Amino acid sequence: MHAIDWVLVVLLPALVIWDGVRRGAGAKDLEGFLLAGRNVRWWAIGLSVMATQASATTMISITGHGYEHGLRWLHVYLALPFAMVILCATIVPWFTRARVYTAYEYLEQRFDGTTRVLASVLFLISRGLAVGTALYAPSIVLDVVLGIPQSVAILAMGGISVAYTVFGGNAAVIFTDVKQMAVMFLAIGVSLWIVITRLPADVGLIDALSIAGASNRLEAIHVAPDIQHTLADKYNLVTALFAGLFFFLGYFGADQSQVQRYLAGKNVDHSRGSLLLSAFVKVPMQFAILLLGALIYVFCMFEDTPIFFRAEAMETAVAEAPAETRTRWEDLKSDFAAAHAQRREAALAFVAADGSPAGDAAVAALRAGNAQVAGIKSEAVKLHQAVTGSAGGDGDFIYPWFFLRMFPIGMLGLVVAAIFIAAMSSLDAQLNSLATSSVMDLWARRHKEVDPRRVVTLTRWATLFWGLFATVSAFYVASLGPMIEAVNIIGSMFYGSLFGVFLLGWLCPIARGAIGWLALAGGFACTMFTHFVINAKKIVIDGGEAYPVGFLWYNAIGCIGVVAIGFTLALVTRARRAA
Amino acid sequence: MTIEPERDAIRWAPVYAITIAWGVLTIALLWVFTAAFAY
Repeated sequence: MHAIDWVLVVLLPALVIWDGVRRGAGAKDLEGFLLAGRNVRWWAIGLSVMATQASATTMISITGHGYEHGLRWLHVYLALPFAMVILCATIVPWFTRARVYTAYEYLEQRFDGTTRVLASVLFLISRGLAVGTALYAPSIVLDVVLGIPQSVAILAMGGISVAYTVFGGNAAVIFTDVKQMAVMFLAIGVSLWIVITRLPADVGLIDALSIAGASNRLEAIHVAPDIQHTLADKYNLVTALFAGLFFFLGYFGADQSQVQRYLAGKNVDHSRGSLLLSAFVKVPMQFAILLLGALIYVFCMFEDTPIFFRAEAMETAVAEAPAETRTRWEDLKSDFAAAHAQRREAALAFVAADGSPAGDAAVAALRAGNAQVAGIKSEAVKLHQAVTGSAGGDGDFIYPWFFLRMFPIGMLGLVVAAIFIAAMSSLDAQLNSLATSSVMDLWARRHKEVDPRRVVTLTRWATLFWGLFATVSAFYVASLGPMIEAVNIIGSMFYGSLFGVFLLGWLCPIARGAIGWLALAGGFACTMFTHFVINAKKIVIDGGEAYPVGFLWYNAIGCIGVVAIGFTLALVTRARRAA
Repeated sequence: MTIEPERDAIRWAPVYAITIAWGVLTIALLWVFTAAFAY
């Protein structure tokens, strides 16, 4: 990297952190430290809500997903505007009027203390399992781009995030996030502009989109043909709107890492406005990131592209492997080079023939080229796994490969800085909420007479603990495979049940006391049953393997399970009392 | 100042309607985009 890029990589994150800490420095009391004094405007919270969800994984992993699978991931976000309206009309006013510090505190008022503790424990487990990914993603970039070992990167990023979150609390988190989103929007725009302008001279934007479309990379809306496909295929319209709705209701309504952002609003209107900002901006933003991945896929058709995007690591591993493996690797590389050249010709022929009678043959040739390249690539991924022992492909290395080679001086530094800031801004909110829930839901509820300043001190120590936990767990994240999906699968196992208990409290006034935690435990058991029993074996659909129930459905199953069990218990209890 | 829930809901109803319309419009536009580049 050029000296100017290095200056940007160091200066931008430093500036963002300094400003965040400056704004959080005055937070001495409990409300100031945990909720930024409940005095933040809607746009700042709104950007923080988006930044909390958009980690470095969003930039790296979703771009890779767009390259490999096209726009289909966009389905996950389609229900977001509708979920935000439901939350703004229900949960947001409940929380703000109840003046709670955590979402689960509300459950103690509505049901009992055990329900609050169980919900908090489920949150701590789910968020604790996912928190390491926020550190792992940028460590890839540091490794690939700057040559800094991943272990050193994880320790450095974790240390910085913990330091300013411990010091500045929620205000530092929110105002760091605001700048993060600004830098991130800029980085996405610059990346799109570069990929479009770097296409060959005779391939325009519409041509590139046509190639991506013919390569099945632009299917933003997919309707499954039957119920089996609807359940098993993760990305289709029905699953997106129904199961996805429960996913976002759970994530924004019952995950403390998000609830704690909008509880900092000046009033209920500012809290609502913050969520509605995501409702309008999130889908276009994700569309832009996925489109970037799809366009990089097209761009790579015309460039000298490696068979494996983490080429240097693969070469090093193969060099120490037996002679048979080295020969296999060289064969794969020459096969890939030939298939790649053939596909390039097919893509150019497709552009020339688009709209003409020869178009169908050109589409078929392009698809055959794609299939051939994908087949060789698949063999390379298997060889990589056999040689290195690490799971997953190279999806998370596609975007770093692209910007490292194609970005001009200054722009490279901007994107690398954006990824660092994104990582820290996602981690800080998670540490802040994990610490808050640990202290407020598990400890402070039993020590109400304690000096609030002691609670703040304890929350700072809890932030440090969770920071260490995140740092250690980040070392094990690599074995999970593609990160973005792993994070959402873990979340989906918990969100539905957690939101279900809030929904039960609203829909069933006679459900009181222990019914809350019994229903929550029952709904969570339904999700676990689906994951470990129904999804124990994959099924074959359209020639490919898939789980019988896609992960987004876990949210609906958990939520409906909690409400159904809660209603049943409430009715049985009332009938027994009447008898 | 505390606003009664009923008045609060009426005050926010137009914003909610616009948000829902935006959600529907987004899906419609994406559907058109998908169809435009489907082969």
